[in-house]
Amino acid sequence: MAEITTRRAVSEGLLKLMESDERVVLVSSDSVGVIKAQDIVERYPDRVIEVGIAEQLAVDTAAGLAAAGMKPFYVTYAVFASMRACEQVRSMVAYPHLNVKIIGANGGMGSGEREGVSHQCFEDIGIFRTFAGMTILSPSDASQVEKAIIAASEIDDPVYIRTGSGKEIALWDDEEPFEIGKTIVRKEADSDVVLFSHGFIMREVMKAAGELENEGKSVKVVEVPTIKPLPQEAILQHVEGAANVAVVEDHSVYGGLSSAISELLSRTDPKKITTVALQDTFPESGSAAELFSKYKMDSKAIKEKLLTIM
Amino acid sequence: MENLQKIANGLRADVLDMVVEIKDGHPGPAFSAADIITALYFGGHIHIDPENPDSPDRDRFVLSKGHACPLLYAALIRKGVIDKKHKLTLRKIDSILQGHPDMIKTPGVDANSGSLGNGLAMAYGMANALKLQKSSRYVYVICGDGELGEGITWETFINIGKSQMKNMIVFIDNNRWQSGGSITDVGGIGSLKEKFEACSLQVIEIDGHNFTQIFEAVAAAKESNKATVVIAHTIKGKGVDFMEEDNSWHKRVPTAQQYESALRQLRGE
Ligand SMILES: [Mg+2]
Repeated sequence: MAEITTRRAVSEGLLKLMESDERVVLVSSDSVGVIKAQDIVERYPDRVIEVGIAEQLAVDTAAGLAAAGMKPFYVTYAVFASMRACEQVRSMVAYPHLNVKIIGANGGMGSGEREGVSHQCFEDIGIFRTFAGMTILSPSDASQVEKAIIAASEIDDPVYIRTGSGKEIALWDDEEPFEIGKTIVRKEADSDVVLFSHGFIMREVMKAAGELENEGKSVKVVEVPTIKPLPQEAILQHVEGAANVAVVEDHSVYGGLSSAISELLSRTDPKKITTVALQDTFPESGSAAELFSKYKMDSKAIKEKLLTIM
Repeated sequence: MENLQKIANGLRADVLDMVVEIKDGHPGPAFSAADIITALYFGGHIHIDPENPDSPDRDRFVLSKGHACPLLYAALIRKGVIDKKHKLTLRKIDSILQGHPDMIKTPGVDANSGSLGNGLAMAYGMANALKLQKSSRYVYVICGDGELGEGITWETFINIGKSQMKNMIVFIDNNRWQSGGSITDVGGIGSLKEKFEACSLQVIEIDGHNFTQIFEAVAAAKESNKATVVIAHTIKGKGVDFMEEDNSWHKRVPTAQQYESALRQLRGE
């Protein structure tokens, strides 16, 4: 597969689904451009429901489509999916447990980057995690995004898929599957520190872990691309015997994977948890690299934080 | 028509039975919509098989003003879609009859309405689905007039007009009241007709308590080459003299004496 962007990966996945199942439809709130999906509009004009800049209507439209037997995917920016249309996702999709897939682009501060705070989103996981029965996926590169779209289509549940800016690089083998509910050990190590992460910040995590390894200090790295339902058994197995747990995520320190793992371990296997995430602040415009550096979420900051617990 | 009037008042009496039993609920907003619902369910418009209420080949009905749902439950009980044994369980623990409509718990209920504006918007999605499926079925919606204060309703009307969604017929239960007072004082929405016309919709204005006019409006909507909104002029609390135009009945439980009096009036005694 030629390298594609994390945004185009969404439309590649959708195209495959639309080819094989005519119940699959795309709902857009003037957001077709977000996933560079003009070819989908040209090929399946009737199956792209364009509602204009109206995210609340878009979510309810998707709910109505699903209630009448269609398989809608709604794409917009993560910030609008989770906050402008928050109640619609909660009461019209999650509550009746409808088969609606919501794809949130610009998930995280790094993916929102130069757009600034209004278009960045670091609250989505915290919000959606409180909705009963909602599945939350956070793939970490373009190939994984495309496969996550396909995997989401195979379950009959409401799913939120967090995606990026389109600038994120490929990290893994294209052939690697995306399996909902599975954790992936990205770096095996004989270490008393286990690090969990998800999404595109995995790039910074792997860089930090690699540098530490070169210095003779190892950390076990586990990717958790399914944040809800949290793969509890797998996480408990990974932390067994570990002295320290670290969580790195491009999300607020409140409500994301670090909260989910803290909640799990506090009632099962209490451990000290060190978090690298966006502190209680609103960031700003900038390149992803500059933002991660300034807000202490880049590989350097991750490495420094890990050294404090090794 | 006489029979329909009897059915409508029977549904109103059922609403009171439920509200009195649980000492909670919204009689006024149910009564203004009772004749429209009766016309749709018992006048040959909404086709739903009581044996198979989830069949994809059915008309959809969304009570977007979901707080009036005891009326919808009464209609579905009379239709045989909901077992009548559930009638007096409204709003009680373990009941299939929720305080606001729940499409999973209650057979025959097509949307989780009640969060105002969202029922209409979801109905738009259903209409899109039926169109893609080349179904000849319709999506009927009843919106409150107070509900039109929700921005999402206008997102939806703009899109119904843009796509000329002719398999969708929206009634506005224009009773001129909302929870906190008159529409003029509280929501201040002003003239509806011009607003709908500006959304490229055909607008039909009727007396929402006149069955002939309701049927003519549905027929005109189906014949038109434009998507239609029916502004139904109604009376909040219609059918019981002391409830009519008294907005305190938006959400209020009658006393034993009021209940008796209301039932007598609804039976035509
Ligand atoms: Mg009203």
